[in-house]
Amino acid sequence: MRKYVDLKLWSSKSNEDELTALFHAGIEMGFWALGFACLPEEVEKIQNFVKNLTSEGKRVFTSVELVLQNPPALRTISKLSKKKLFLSVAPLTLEMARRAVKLRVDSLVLPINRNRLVFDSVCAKEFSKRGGAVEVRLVDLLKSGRRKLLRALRMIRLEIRIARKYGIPLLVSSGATKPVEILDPIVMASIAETLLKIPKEAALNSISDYPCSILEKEGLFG
Amino acid sequence: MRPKIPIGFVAPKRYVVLEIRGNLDSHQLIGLALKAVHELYGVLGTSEVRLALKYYGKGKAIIETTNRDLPMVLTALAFALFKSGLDIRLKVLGVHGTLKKGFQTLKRQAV
Repeated sequence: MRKYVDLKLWSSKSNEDELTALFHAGIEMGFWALGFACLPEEVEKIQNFVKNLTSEGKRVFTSVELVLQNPPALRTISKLSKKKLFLSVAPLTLEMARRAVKLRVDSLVLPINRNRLVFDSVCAKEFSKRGGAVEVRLVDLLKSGRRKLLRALRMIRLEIRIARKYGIPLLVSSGATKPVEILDPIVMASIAETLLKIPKEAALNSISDYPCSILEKEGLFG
Repeated sequence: MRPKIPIGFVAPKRYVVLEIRGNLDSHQLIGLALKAVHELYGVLGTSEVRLALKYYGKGKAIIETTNRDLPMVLTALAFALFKSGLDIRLKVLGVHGTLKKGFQTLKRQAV
């Protein structure tokens, strides 16, 4: 039986009630482990919440996403990489992506709102050496309008093809901000297969085997 | 008289058992799904997608599709529910090769 993992559940205010509702909805959907995502500023708050749940025997972890707009943002990575969490970066330009892949990050998020590629074969070569993964957030895709979706899919599909060529694993997370946005794992795999044009097995691995192995590598679960 | 079609020309059927959490009737469900299929795959894509509602009641539904179209149908359903803005969640209870097994899953869930 596969162990499904949702790497990113967001709470807009990092409110405990909201986070608990997200956790229950995720467990109801059949996820084995859930990641609570936050920006670097809110990491302490989320880590405390996660600690409480872990002490009750629940499989949850902190997931931090860093938006890379300019070079000073890269300094935060080295601080965060020492902590026990799932660290991902969302570069907004190719230059930032090329710099980010040289640092110790677990995944590189492919953003939706952009006009150019942020992941090319230079990034892929470097990233494959460091054992990173490429991540796509499904809720962002489902929420976007028709034009934005068309443009995003064209770029993301190409970036995923590049990543797969260099043997970089693809991760798929929901990125849900409300319990109603949490998707069933089978639906998540179907969306990945249809919209991102990846084979069925790769789509299932992107929400189960790959995230599980990264979490084990990071020492988040035994 | 039943038409004879060569083996491999028709994809094997699949029955998806869904749990729908929220207020949505059968007409709304199929209407939203068909609209999303049209929007996502266009006329050519829709002509190849098999989608039929076989059962709907007490927040459970059985949708008939094919092995090949299953991911497309689930994507369209998720897309439709997101776009509708309704407070509805979809859970896949099972995917079966026969309608009989689909109903067995429904019975098991009811117990």
